[in-house]
Parts: sequence; structure tokens; C-alpha cells
Amino acid sequence: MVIVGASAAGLSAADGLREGGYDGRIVILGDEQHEPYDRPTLSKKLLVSQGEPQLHALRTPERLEADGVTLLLGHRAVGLDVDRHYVVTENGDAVPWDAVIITTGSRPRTLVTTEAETLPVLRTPADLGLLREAAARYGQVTLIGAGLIGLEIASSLSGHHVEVTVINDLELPLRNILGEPVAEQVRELHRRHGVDLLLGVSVESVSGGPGSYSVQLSDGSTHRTSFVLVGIGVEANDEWLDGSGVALDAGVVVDAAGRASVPGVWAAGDVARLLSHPSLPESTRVEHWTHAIEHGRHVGLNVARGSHADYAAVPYFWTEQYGRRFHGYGRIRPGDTAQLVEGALDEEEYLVLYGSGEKLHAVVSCGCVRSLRGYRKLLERNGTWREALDLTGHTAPIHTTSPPTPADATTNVRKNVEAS
Amino acid sequence: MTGQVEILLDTNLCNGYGVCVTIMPDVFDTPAGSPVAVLLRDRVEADETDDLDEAIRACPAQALAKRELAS
Repeated sequence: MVIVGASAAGLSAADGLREGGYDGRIVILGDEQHEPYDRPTLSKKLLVSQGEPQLHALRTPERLEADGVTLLLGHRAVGLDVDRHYVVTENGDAVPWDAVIITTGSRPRTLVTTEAETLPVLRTPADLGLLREAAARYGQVTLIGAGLIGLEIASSLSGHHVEVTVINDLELPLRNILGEPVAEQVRELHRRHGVDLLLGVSVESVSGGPGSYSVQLSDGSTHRTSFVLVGIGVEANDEWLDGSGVALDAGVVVDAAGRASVPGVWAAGDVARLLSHPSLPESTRVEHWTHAIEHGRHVGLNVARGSHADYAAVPYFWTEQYGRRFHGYGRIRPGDTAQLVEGALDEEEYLVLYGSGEKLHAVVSCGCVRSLRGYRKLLERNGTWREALDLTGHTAPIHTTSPPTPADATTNVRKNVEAS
Repeated sequence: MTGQVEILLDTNLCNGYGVCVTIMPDVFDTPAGSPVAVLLRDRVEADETDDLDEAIRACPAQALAKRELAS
């Protein structure tokens, strides 16, 4: 078995293979020279830690050896031969496979300056070092893009005497994953902490270099800053499969079992475009941490067992902003109703349900982490909106065919959530 | 016959993300202000091991492990 990508998904696929009873050879090809490490920590913790960043290994060499897994670092895959069953690496090696699991993940989208310099992103320990150095030297950082990682960085830096500006073309960042009422709270949290939010404007061009950048905005204004970091989403690392015969659509297209279009080829984690999933309205790539773990394991189990079980784990994410922990399960859909069922939005703890008609689609919590399990179980078994409200002990009258009416305007919020 | 399973939390590795709390809120907690998770109990029953295994897998810091106890 060959696993391409020493990622969280790749390592979990190896675990799944062993758990499923496969006892042959497992080779994992990795492109980075680092041992696989806990990547979420880069944006969530290490930005403001003192001294050299301490990266936590995802697997110790002892564990890999005990599991009979051969990890080949510095072996970037450049091609897949689906007829002769080889993975070709940039060193010119041809690594044979009986089955191959593609877990090459994704990489940040980049922006280049008018001088053709690629602007920094945050993805690797080297990126982290550059950002920490710049924040200390200039005391000023501008983030282009306001996704989860961008806002985690803003939240970390602004508490440490760094002047932070965030530029985003959306008026309300994170609305598609947090929902409108929660995204509004997060936006206000950033404003209260002094982050300068330039929203509803896009970046036309960036010129200059470290120490002195000019950012041209779509409203005609110019923003000047010492350092720019780009966080405008990710794209799948799938170009090495161009021409291989494996169907690609901004990611490796896989069925619910994790099979790609060519026999013997599977994919898992954020490189995989899922054609069908009970929680997702359309084919999509899921870019969250626990998805990489669970999807990787699921595909490993299927390969080992020769089974084609459908993957149905409910998408989950978490983020920390200014010490507040947000967790979400499920996927908010356009037109969903939001209902606050715990806490109050202007307080430190609250929990919001999203759904439409009789369907529960998602739950997002700030601080109410202990309540999540029940809603999550409900989402796993495709529970209804009424069951969700029953869980809260909520006694509002519930209409069976349309979204519920808030019982009390001071404790409930109801808003339409639009896709962004 | 499977008996109880002991939960091992390595607080040197734990980053306090709280992913484990969403999976087993009656076992793990992330008290406000605490940089690491705490165990509300250090054992789970045999019928809870699927959830524990999921929490172990899901920990980005790989701070969780388990040890089977003789029944």
C-alpha cells in the first residue's frame, strides 16, 4: 500500500489500514522534510509563544516502526501511473502499489505583488518564523482575507501590541461557517480589540516589500502597511495527477466510500472532493482537521477490508478568538433559520442552532462546549429541528412545517443566513 | 471480557483545544483560564471505548492515550 502525503489524513489512513487488518507493507510519501506535525498549532498557539516554536510530532518514529509504516520524507510525488501501478517521485523513484491512497492535502492560495514577489502565507514552521519576526520588528501586520486562520492570527497578534488590519471582500467574514448572528459577534470582538477591519472591499494590487507595502483597494483607497500576510483559502494539491486518468475537479473526485475514478486509487482528507455526503448539500472538499483524521481512517478501513462503506462523519471545526472557543458541527445552508438556545449573544457563552423546516443542519457554540455532544449525536442520525429543541428543554411553540417562532425576543434570535 | 480502560492525558502535549470535550463532555473539561484539558474521571467503561478512541484520534496535539485494565 502506498499513501501519498504525510498528512494527518495520510497517517490516519495508515492507522485505518492496520485497524482493518491489513498486514502488508505501508509506505507513506511526504514532500516536506519535517516529520509530520500538529499543524493547527501554527495559527492557534505558536504565534505568541516564546522562544523556538515547539512542534508536536503527529507520530513518533517508535510508533511508526511499531505500526510497520515506512515514512519517506522529501519524496514529493510528481506523477501517478495507473496502468503499471507506480507513484513517480521528484527524485525519479517509481514506487509500486497495489492500492494507493492520495492524501496530498491543500495549500494556501497565493497573491503576488506588482513586482512579482509572492506574498507570505501561514502554512509551515518557516512561514510562522517569518510572521513572528515581522510582527516583532514592525509592530504592524495586515491580513488579506478573513477566514478562520486569518482571524485566529489577528486575534493572537492584536493582544500582543501589534497593530492589525484585516481586509476582506465580504461585509461579514465567516458568515458561511458560523452563521450570521455568531459571525457578527466575532466581527465585533475583533473591533473591540482594536483590529482595523476593512470589509466589503477587495484588493486590486499590492506593491512594495517588507517594511513598506501599498495595498490598492477596490474603493479607490490605498492602505499602507509594513507587512502583509495572505489567507484567502486553500486549493487542493492535485496537479501532480493531471493526465493520470484520475478524475479531478478542484480536488480528487471520490465517491462516498473514498474511491477515485480509477480502480485501486482512493483519496482522503482535504484533497478529496466528496461527491455525496449526508451533511453536505453538494460535492465539496472539507478542509477541517477532524475530517482529515476521520476520512483518512475510514478510507484506510475500506481499503483493508475490501469494503465500500459510506463516509458520513458530521463536519466539525473549532477556533479560538480572544480566548473564546467556538465549535461547530454540521454545515449551515443558505436560507437557514438561526435560533439561540443557550446563553445570550452579547455574553461569553451561547449556542445557536441552524436549520430549515423540520431539518437541523448545524450547531455553533461559543463556550457551551459541554452541550455539543447531544446536538452532534442528533446530526449524526439526521435528527429533526423539534428533537433539537427538545434537547434544549426549550418550550417555544413549534410549527411543524416552517421554521420555529422565537418565544421571547430577548433570549432568541432569528435570522436568515445567506451563503457567502 | 473487556474491563475498564484508563485514560492517559499528557499535559505537556495538551494545547487545550477542547476537541475531546465535544466528544466526551463527562470525561474531559477545559475550565476557563486553564491552558490544558482536565480529566473529570480517569477511567471509562468498555461501552465507552469507541468514543474514547475517537477522542484520542481527534486530538491534534496527540496528548491522549489509553491503557487497558485487567478486569
